[in-house]
Amino acid sequence: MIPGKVGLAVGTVAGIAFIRWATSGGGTLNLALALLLTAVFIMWLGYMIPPARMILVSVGFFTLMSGIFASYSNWLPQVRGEVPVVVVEKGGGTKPEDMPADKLAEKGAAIIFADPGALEGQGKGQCPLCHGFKKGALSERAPNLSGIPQRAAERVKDPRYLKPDSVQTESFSGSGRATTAVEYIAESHSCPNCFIVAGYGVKGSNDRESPMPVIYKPPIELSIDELIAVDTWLFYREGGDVPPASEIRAAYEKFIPAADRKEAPKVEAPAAPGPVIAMGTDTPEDMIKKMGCGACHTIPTTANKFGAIGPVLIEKTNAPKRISSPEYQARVKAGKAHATTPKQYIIESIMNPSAFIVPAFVNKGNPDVSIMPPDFSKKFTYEAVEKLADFLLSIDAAAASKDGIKIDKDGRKAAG
Amino acid sequence: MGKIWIPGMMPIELLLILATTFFVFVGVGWLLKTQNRSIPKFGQAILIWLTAFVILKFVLYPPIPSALMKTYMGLITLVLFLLVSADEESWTDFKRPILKTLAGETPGYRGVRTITLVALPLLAGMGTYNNIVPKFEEPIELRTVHPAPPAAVKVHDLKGGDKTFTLQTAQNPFRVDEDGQYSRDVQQKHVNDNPFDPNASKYMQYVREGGAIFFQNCHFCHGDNLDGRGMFAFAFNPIPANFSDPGTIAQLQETFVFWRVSKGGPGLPREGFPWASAMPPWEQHLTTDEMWKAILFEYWHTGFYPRTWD
Amino acid sequence: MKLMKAVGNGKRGWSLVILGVMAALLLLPVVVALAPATSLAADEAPAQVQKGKDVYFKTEGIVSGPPAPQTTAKDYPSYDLPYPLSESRVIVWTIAQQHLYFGSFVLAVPIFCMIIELVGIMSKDRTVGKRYDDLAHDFVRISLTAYSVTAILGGLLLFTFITLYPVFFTYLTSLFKPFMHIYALLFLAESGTLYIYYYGWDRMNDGGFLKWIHATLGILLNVFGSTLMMLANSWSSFMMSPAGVDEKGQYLGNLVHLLHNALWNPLNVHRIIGNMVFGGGIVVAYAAYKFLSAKTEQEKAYYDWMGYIAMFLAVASLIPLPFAGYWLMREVYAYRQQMGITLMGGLLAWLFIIQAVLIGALFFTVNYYLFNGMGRMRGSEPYRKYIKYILFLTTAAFLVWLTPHTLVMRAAELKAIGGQQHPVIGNFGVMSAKNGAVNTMLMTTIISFILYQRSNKIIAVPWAAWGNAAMIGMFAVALVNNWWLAIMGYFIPANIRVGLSVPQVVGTLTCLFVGLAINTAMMRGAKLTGPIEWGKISVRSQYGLFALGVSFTWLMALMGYIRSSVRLFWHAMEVFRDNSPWAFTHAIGFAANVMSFNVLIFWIFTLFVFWLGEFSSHKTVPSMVDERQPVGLGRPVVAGGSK
Repeated sequence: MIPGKVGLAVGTVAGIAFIRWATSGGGTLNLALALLLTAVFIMWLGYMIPPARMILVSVGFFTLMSGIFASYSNWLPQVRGEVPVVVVEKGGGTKPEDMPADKLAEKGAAIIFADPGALEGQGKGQCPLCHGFKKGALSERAPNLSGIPQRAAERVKDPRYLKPDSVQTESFSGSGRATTAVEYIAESHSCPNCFIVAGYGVKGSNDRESPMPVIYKPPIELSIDELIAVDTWLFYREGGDVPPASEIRAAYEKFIPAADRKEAPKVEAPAAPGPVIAMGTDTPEDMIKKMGCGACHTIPTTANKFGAIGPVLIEKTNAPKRISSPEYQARVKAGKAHATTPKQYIIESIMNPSAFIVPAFVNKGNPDVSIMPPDFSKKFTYEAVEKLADFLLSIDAAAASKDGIKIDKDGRKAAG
Repeated sequence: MGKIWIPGMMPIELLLILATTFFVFVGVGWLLKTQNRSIPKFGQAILIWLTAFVILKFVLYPPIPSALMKTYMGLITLVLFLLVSADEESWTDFKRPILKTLAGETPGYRGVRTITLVALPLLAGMGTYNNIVPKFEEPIELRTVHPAPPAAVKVHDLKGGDKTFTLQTAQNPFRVDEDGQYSRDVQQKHVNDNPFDPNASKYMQYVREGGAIFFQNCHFCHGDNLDGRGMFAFAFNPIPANFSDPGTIAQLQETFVFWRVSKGGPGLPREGFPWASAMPPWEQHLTTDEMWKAILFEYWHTGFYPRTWD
Repeated sequence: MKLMKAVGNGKRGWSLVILGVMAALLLLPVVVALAPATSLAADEAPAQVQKGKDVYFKTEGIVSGPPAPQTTAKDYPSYDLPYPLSESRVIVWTIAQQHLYFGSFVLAVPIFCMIIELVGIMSKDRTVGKRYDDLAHDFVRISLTAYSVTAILGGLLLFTFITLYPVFFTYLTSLFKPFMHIYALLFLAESGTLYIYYYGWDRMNDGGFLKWIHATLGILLNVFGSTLMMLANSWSSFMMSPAGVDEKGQYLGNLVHLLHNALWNPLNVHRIIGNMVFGGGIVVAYAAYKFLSAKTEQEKAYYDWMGYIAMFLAVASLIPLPFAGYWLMREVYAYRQQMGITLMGGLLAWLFIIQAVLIGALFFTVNYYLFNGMGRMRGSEPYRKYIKYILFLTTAAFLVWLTPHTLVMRAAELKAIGGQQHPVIGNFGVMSAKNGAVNTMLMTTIISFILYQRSNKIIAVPWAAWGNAAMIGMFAVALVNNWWLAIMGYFIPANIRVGLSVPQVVGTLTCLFVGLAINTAMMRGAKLTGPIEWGKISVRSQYGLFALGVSFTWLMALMGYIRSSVRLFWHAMEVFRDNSPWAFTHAIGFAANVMSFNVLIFWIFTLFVFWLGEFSSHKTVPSMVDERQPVGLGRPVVAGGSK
């Protein structure tokens, strides 16, 4: 029996170690596979321990079935549903009347589709959920909007429009009905129940009630400026004449009572998950905050005084020294580093940290890979990284001592 | 009615193939039973699995994605297990060769056992290697094959001037009957006519002229059989459209085709990947009449009808 | 003896009266809460009254509650645990799921007991009757421990809401406070009834009037249990389809509107039926486990039979479940189109493919169990040859059923296909094909069951040939009709195609009811080729029952996840926004992992519950030998008996 028990013990340890190793990559698929492996392991344990066999085999079988379902689910395409971000207009934002037609149309397309170039996807307006936009596309939930300017002009003359039979005849008491194509489209956004295209009403309401929500109210809540952009795009894409923004605004003001009109929301969005990009319009301090440089680097003249993982950033003094150091030249010779000026050196350090690692900060176990995150190249626009490099180039050793920051010979922040 | 029966491409055909294979199996089994012989259950299971694999991988055309193939074969494996283990007798019969191999009762079985026990880890190793080895696959292309056309298109006519065509309402000016009136039925009437007949109808004359234009300009990419297999076809990605496929011109209105011919690749909207298309904008080389005639010829030759008539 | 009878007779009337008074007292809070709520509010002098419009009922009402709060990330406490427990919602999800599992079981068991006890009372064969009665008694015993666990989990869930979602919970309780009090008080009724029902079982088992009282108590238990569930359902359905509040979330004074929101009743119906299916699945797994660990033939026979009964009940409840689900989906669509489209065509669409896979697994498991079950019946050999046809049809249908519309493929494969859609397989991805496939699978399962019923009988009715012809004809017509409509669906406009599912389903249901009716009629007076040898079934089939149990559990987790995540980033749809750091919707892989862990945690709990149940179980299992022997057999029956 001893060999049996030894085999059992060894097998158990080995099994657990194997499962941990196999799933060490993390990720949800690995976790699902871990379930499968664990199932097999438990069933094997059950086979080896007769008194507990039934229970272990049962638990193992259940784990196996769950593992199969979980693995299949992880094998399918994975999509995460992100929360839409409330876009904050910097400053007052450009008024539609001041924007050229094509830019306004592009903004409108972005509101509809999120991606201005495509006719697919879903933006803040959520229009594609129900409306088709491609000519000839089947649009069963709501009318297809290609060619709408033409149709809108015809609709306002339609006898069915002039004698409405729907649950709501006016956008608000005294607003009146639409007389032009522009007004028709505006009315459709403000008062969907005012006129329902034949065949698209709520089922059972005999086309007297519309399933479309009121667009300027929650949850979609587009502002009048955004609605103007959307309508401009609807006209622009047909290739015909585009009505001026003032005309569209007048149409909306006809149908949205003054009390309900609001500016574009100035609410700060809660920390939304999504890529953070440093833009050329940010200040260097903003960029440093966005990218979290202070977590690892101490940067004199800024509030970042506690970073102790990376070198203290006094590049006015350090960068020329670093480029001319023998270690750097060796990297250049090896084709791994390419900077010739201090500014290039800083930009290279940000975009490709592993090109050259300051000798005192090389990780012994993994000498070719820098601890600094490698993906900053995706988080900066060119303008931004140049701006930041210029800023960092202005900080020298004198600035550090003025801030009371002591630096040791390796470039690290010294204690005390 | 154009090409309908394309080998391996019809859903009904696939189901019929599966059903026929099934009944062939049943028939063979019945025949063997009348002679008091039978294939052992293990062999049956392997045979069924292999047949299913062959049909799904090689008979079904075009080939299905590997993810779907894995799903299907996984399911069929499970079902085969259910089939052989549905009753005790069948299950015992199925297990017999496996148990005999594991026990190594005869030298023959011992040999098979050795080979199997060596081959299985090797196969597992190969599979693992395949999964781990980095592959270089092209990124997924999300090109819209039939992008939405604009409402109207302004075409430069070589003869001079620009003409605007409203795509919703324009018609092919050469799809006419003898009186010169636009006619939907004229193609059907002349399906089998000879275009080189000196007494051919007006429509057939236009078809002949269109054919000449086609073979002077289009067939290099679109092929002399209009199947997208011209001599330059595989130099491009995406390859030129296959007009004999029911998914191309058969699905489109004639004005859409006219838009594509006149504006070419550069005239595609962004979702159509205009940078990837090799289609020349023919408005720079042909008159609008020539383009319409070429389109007329394409429909006549492939036997498809433009979409307006559905 | 005579005295006892006299006392018993005299007490009969009094027992009824007392029972009635008890029930009335216990239901009093419900009546009180619902009746004068609105009239009390109207007595207030409306000085500065604010009016609001109900988001669903569109009626006007006086604002009498706070608006839904605008939360920020700070309002969502979380624990510093390793991911994913750092997301509070995962903690709530797990505990809520466990509570729902046990609650569902605790509600299903009384339904089963009610049915089985009734069957036991009405059996002519006393041994068979006693067997059913003992089975029902066993079920209640298990449910007592499960009941405690449900309550513990409910308390845990409550504390989790209070600690981790305080703002949300404050808002919810401000709306539903009367209902929450009633909910808590109803537990007194439920517990009281359950204890009398269980502890009084043997005492009231007099074969006479008291037994009927006992059966009525079983019905009462179900009433209380369902009411409890319906109250709690209104909180879930409020989150999905708010009513009784205006667009800012302010309560408008009408409790009935609050309770009776758009998805309340569809959820109620779906959950009652779903409870039965799920409860059946648990009993099935329990029976399989006991079978596999049985030591005597007697035990094996009993647990084999228990597994069969439970499976029968579970699958019978499974049949109306898709209709209830369809109603739920339609109401979701009707309430808010965006939600419906998110479910079926948008972010959550792949979850329905996973559901399809699970349901297919269920069909195969049931069929497989029936095939193996035929092995217990001598005389089933002639029917074995049909197994391969049934399996072939089911497999072909399942292949169509699980083909997704969007194929997962690499770019090279996409080029080989020449587009996003495969010309052959692409057709299987649309609704037309799916309807045809699922109806085919249903019909093959019905055929399996019909063959199973016939397995050990030689039909003796004179019209047997006609009966068979009728059944074959009916199935043939239904199958052809089903396939024809499925094919035709491709060539007609969408709004007509949607209606095609009705004739397809009617065909299937006709086969089910009429087929079973004809079959049962044909069995009358049939000669038995052998008894059903309970216990003589393969071990593989019991693993199939395990698979059934875990599939039901996983499916319930999946559908619950879908129901909950259709809200996307809202606490209450479009009224109360979710601004937590984890407001996004996870990818399905993550969700599947959490679901799998929930399933396993539940089953480990349940194993514990069953183990506890062992302590007070019968030392011997009920006998499977019947008083009435089957006709035409010379020797006594040992390990079997007719059902």
